[in-house]
Amino acid sequence: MLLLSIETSCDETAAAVVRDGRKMLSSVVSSQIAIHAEYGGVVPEIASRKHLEMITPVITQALADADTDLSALEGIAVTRGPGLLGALLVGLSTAKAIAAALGIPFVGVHHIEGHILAAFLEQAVEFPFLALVVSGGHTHIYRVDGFGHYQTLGRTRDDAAGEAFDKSAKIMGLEYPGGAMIDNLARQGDGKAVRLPRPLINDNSLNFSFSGLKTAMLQYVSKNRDSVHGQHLHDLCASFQQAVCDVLVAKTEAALMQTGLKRLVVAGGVACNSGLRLHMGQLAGRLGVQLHIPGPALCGDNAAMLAVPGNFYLENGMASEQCLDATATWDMDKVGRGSL
Amino acid sequence: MKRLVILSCSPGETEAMGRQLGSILPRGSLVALRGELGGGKTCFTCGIASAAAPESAHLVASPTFAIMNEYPGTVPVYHFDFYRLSGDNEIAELGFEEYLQGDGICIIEWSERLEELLPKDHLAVTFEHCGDDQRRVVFEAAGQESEALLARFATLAKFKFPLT
Repeated sequence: MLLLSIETSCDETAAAVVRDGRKMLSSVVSSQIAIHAEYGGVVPEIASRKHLEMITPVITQALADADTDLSALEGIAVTRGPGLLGALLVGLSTAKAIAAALGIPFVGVHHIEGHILAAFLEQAVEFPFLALVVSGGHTHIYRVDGFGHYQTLGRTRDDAAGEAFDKSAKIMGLEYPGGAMIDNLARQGDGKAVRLPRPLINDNSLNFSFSGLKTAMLQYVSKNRDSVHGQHLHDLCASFQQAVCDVLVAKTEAALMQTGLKRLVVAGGVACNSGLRLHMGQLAGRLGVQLHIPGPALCGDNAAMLAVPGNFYLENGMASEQCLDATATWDMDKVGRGSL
Repeated sequence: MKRLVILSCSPGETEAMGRQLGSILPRGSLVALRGELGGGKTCFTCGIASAAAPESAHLVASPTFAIMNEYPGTVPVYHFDFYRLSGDNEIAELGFEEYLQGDGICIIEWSERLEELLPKDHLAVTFEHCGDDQRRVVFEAAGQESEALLARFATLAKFKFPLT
C-alpha cells in the first residue's frame, strides 16, 4: 500500500510517504526544512498552533519529495498517542479529514511502536526481538513478538537518558543541542577520568534511573567549576557518556539473558550517540546477538517510522474508525489488543 | 500555616515527604515545584503519585520532554514540567488551565516559568541544595485552603522528618 504518515505528538511536525511499510519515498521533519525558520528556529512545537502552521506545508513537501499526490494514496498512518492532546489532535484530525475526503482507510499508531520498527525501513528485521528505546522522553526495554505485540520489561524511574544528556550539557555550560555536543567532546576524552555513579546497575530489575547521575554531574561541576574546560571538559564528557552507556549496556545484556532473545533493536534519538552505537555493537558481538540500529535520520522523531506498523494494521483489517480519539497516555502493552 | 521548612537528607526522605503530602491532597489541588536541577522535584512527585494514584506509581518519570505525564488512578495526577517552556503564552496554549479545573491533582515542575498563571490558592514547594544529598525543602501556602492543608501536613510530617 502507498501510505502517507503523519506525526505531531511532540516537538516535530512530520510527514512521510512510504510504500508497503518498507520503502521510504520521502520523509519531511519540520525542523529540517527552511520554512521552519520563519516560526522561530528550534523552539519546541509543543503548542498545537505551531503544529497547525506546519502541517500543510510539511505534508505538501512530503508528497512532492515522493513525486506523488493525494490521489495516489491508499491509506494513512498517524500518531494517536502518547503526547500532548492538543498537538496529537492536529495530526489525527488532518489524517481523518484526508482519509474521509479520499475514501481511504487510516490507522492510529503508538509513537514508540514507530520508533521500535523504524529499522524495518532500512533492514530486514525478524521477530521476536528485544528493543531498547532511548530518547529525550523514553528509556524503555521491550520484548517485541510481532506487530502490536509489545511487553514492557523495564523503564526509567526518573530522567530519560536523552534528558540526562541535555541537562548535563547545560550543567557543563554547553550549547544546544547538548547531547550531540557531549558526544563530540567525548571523542577526545578519557572515559575513566572522572568517577561517576552508575545508578541501579546492580539491582535485579531492568529499570533505569539517571537523575542521580545528573546530580553527581551538578556536584562535580560546582566543585570544579574553574577547571572544567579544555582536556578536563573532554574527559568529563567522556566519563559521563561512559556512565550512561555502561548502564544501558548492562540492563540490555541482562534483558537479553533473561529473555533468551537473539536479536536486538536500539532506537530513539539517543541511538544516534556514537558511544552507544559502539558499545551496543560490542555487546552484540560478545553475545552473538544480531543488532539493528536505524540510521541517524530514522532515530529521531519522524513520520516514516509510523508507516511500518500502519501498513501492517491496514493490510490486516485493523483500520481505525472516524471516532478515534487521541490519547495522552497509552500503555505499549495494550497496543494492538482491540484498543486501536 | 503559611510556611514550613523541612530538611531532607536523602532522595528516600524526599519521596516519603511527597507520599505524606499525597495522602492528604484533595482533588483539584495544585502543587507548584521550584528549584534547581537535581533538587528532588521528580522524586517528590513520585511520592505524591504513589499515595494519590498508587495504580500508576510505576509510570512516574520526568516529564521534561513530554511536558505532561498523566497518571490515571483513584485521584488522577497530572505531572507537568515547564523546563523547556519560555513564556506564559506558550503555557496557556497547552490548554493547561483545563486540567486545573479537573478532578485530579496537578503537579508542576519548574513552575517559576508561569507564576502569573498560578491560581491564587496553591501550595509552592522549593528545593534548595545544601550539601551533597541534603535539601532544604520550603513549603509555602497561598490561600486559605492551602494554608489549612499545610497545617495538616505539618502535624503529620512533624514526627517523621527533622524540622529546621
